[in-house]
Amino acid sequence: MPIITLQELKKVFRLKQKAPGLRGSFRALLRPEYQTVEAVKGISLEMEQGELLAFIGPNGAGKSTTIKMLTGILYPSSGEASVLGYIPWQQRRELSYHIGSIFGQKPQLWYHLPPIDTFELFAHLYELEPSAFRQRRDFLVEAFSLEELLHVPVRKLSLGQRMRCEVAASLLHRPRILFLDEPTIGLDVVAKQKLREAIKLLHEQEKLTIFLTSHDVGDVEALCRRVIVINHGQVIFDDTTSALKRRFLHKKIISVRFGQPVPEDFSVKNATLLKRGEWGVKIELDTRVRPVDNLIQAIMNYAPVMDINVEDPPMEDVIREIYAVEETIHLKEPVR
Amino acid sequence: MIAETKYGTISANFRKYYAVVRINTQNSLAYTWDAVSQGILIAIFILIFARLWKVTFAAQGAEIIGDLTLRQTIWYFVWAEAIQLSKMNASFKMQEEVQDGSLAYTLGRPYNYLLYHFFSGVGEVFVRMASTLAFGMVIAWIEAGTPSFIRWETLPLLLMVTVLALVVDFCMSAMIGLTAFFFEDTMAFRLIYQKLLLVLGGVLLPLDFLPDSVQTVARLLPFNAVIYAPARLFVAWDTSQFLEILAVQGFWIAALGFLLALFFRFGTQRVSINGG
Repeated sequence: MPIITLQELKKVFRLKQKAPGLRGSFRALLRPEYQTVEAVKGISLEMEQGELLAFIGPNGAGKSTTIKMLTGILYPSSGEASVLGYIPWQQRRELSYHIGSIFGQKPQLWYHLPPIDTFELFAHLYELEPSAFRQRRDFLVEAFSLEELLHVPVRKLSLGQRMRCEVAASLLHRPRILFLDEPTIGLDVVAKQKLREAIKLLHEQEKLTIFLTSHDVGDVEALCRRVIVINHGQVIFDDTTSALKRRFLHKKIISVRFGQPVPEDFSVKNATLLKRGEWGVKIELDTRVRPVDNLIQAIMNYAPVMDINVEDPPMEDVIREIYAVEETIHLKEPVR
Repeated sequence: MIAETKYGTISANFRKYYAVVRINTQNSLAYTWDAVSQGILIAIFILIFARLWKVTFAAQGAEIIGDLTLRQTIWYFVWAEAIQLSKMNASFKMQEEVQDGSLAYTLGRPYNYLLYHFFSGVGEVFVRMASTLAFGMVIAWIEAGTPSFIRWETLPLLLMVTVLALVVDFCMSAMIGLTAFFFEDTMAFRLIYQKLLLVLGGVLLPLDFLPDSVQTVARLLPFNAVIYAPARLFVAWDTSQFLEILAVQGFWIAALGFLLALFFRFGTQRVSINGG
């Protein structure tokens, strides 16, 4: 039985328009003009208990608006939604005891106080029994490796350490669903990895349902089995992560820095040379045409390599490709 | 819907908001210099007011103006300015939350948004009030001498009126902050409120010094219930006036509280979070 159900959920914002300059300001004052923006255009989806879903899309696609409607913060313009049997915007407070949420850019920890103080505040806010709180806190401290951080003022923690504390704080009350909105934004590779591992562990141990939005394809690949891609407020892809990878994440960007100058006639077979510098090259590779290991092997054999970096294409490129497929096969339904 | 644990009992709510007060007090202690600077500010204010009113009383050749002696007048400003400088800044905080989208975080928690902000403010007020009163009293003592007219046994009742004054102020301030749901900036409303408090609230001078007709109107408005009423009781305790003030504060808390709740309910339905 699904624990999240959305039916034709829509959100329309009315934005005040203003022409540039002082004249525009006066005109807006006397004769305000409004533009209607459909942030979410009738999204329908279902999510089962224990699912780990990536809800992705470019900036302004409607991801955060959807999360905010699901957590009861925004009222929809039309449509229906049910989260754990609650109508989020009507039963926001009742629902809040059973869900956790992280908005990557809005910290919830008290900046000048150590994380333990925020944890204790949350224990009271979520009405946890003292013994249950201590037990849960100790478990999360271990799962997120927070022993050393618990008594350090938050302002002295690195962004990665802070984010681990943020997620742990959101899990203190044993939520059944965790909404993660850009949890890895701004984190370095190691911090991202640590956070992903901790989230994965919690998901596996507690069958926690996770609704993740991210710009980072790496988050999706590392954590989620199902992906929904939205753009302009509509679902344009809803399938497994492996299907997304198979169909759309087959391009890699490989940056190489050699130990010697790159000759002018440098070329690469079955891949595209994007850029050639004096000491390095940037190559785009379609893994359906040539596997990554094969190309890396060829590069290693070509000359001494000082540094090599394999990246996913940016989310915007993936969306563009999904659109291209959608237009080619004229699908009305989301790509599957 | 999932099986319900009983949430929101009276004792759980008490613990919840007490924890909010406590963490805000802790946080305010991290800003010790902020509290000290407020203390220095009140010291300067009291010094200026004391000198000003000494000259005024001397020029008038009067022992008493508007039922208050010079000493009472100077001590009046200690309590009035302590409230003015320590009171909660709900309007600014709420406007910021609406504007920068952090409302998304606070609205989604299991507490009453307005009560959360009120008790957050209480935690901050404790620290600031302690500092402003300490600095203000020292200067008033030096400038005006011992406040023999203060009836210290009435202090608990005076504190009660002061807390209610903060509630009245919170209701008005929160309503101004929540206008951010409808307007882009609330600064104009905040400035108007500030000026009304200065003149009709008794920050600039006790209402007793105003013309009778203005006084009659001012005593019915909520502004005097924030500053003048508790400060006047501090220097000239009067039980019948205390009861009158309680009634005025009670009326305004009920009326403004009801309006605030309506305003909040209507506003949250119009939330469009920036950056969301």
